[in-house]
Amino acid sequence: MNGLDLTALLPGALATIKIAGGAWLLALAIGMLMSYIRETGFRPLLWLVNGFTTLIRSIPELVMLYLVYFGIAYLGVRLDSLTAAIVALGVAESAFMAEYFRASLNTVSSSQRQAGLSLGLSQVKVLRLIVLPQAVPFAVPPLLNSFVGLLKTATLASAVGAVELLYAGQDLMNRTGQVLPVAISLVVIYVVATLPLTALVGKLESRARARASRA
Amino acid sequence: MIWPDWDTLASWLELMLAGLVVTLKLSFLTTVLTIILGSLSALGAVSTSRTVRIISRVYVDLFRSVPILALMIIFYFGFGPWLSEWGIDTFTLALAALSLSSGAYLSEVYRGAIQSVPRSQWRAAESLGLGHFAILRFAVIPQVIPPLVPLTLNAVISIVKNSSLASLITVNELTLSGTMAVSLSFMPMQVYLLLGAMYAAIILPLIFAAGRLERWVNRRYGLVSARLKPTMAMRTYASAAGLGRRDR
Repeated sequence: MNGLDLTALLPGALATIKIAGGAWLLALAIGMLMSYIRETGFRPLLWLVNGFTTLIRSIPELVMLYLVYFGIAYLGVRLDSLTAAIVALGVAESAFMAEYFRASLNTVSSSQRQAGLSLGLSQVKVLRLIVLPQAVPFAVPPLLNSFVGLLKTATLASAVGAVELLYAGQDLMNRTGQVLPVAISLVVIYVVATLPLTALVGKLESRARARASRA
Repeated sequence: MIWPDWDTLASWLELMLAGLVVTLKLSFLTTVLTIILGSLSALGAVSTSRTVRIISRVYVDLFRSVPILALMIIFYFGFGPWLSEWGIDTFTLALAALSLSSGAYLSEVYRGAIQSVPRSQWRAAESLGLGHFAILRFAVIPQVIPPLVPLTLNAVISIVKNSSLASLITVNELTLSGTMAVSLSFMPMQVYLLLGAMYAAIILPLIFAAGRLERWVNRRYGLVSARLKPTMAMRTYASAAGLGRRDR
């Protein structure tokens, strides 16, 4: 390709991974906190968590990003575009994370917990020795899937000027005028980055399911 | 934070109601195209022809991997120069990008549902002398339609949310009208809160409807829905709607 410097996309790809990774960790932390609150079973807190997750799901990520980036700046706290993207996408994803944790904890029947308690194990030991080892294989595929999703939603950060992969691609198209080669490169990068991970998610999922049906 | 006076609020609402109409139109047309594309691709995935199966697979894998926004931007940059020549606008480009992408997701959901019908039923229908399409038409599809209704509604929820991305290729929909309202009177927090509330007003009823429909389907057609193991694509949609479907 005549003089097209595709290495210009590299910093963008790095920023995409930063945004996706940061948002994933934030979502994991908030999601864990929310599913812990749910486990405590304290009604008012339960309603608060359920209301929060439903509300989060009803607002587009882009609007959430604008609220975090422009809205919070208006209130006097300036976040740079990368941080704003991590916060907005992380909060948006946390609502799904809480759901994944709940679904995977639900795969372990409550009779097993009761059996553990009746053997004299503490609540913590029941969770650590009985529930978690069985629930984790069910939690891994959706958590990985959520990271793959974030690699794609990280493109939204370009809307507030973060130089992630898509922004870098757009910039390259603008500067060189070579739309097609850049577009093909972007597509190839996204396919190569996400397709193997998606396949892995499917494999892990059917393995977890096969193990569960053997048990 | 200052609250806008009534005149300012009225000017915002005027802009945003016009945007809302475009968002609803875009979401509706995308939904129709998505269901058509998803159904065709899912039928292709279970086709007897290897070529058709491969075409369906490539379509799904390609459009599931590329982010919707990337697809829109590529269409915008790629086709932008010829838009006026061909007599199409950015609305059409957004519609194409949204439909191609959502269609790939929905195809996976539909395929999972079709393949959840046990092979023994296919063999039973074959032994009765039914052909491939007759088996699909009379034995398989009637069973999977009820559980697919709430799942399709979940896809609609994702479509409405993703339609906001069209603002980034200059489609005058709800989100762009919000950004215009911000440039009129510099109150981003207030405008975007109002914008979020408008989206929630469309999507919350859909979330509750999907939840109710799913519970109704499970009660009415319990056995079929239980057999329909949720694939990852389904679960993504299910949790998008806040259903929190239990795995087992």
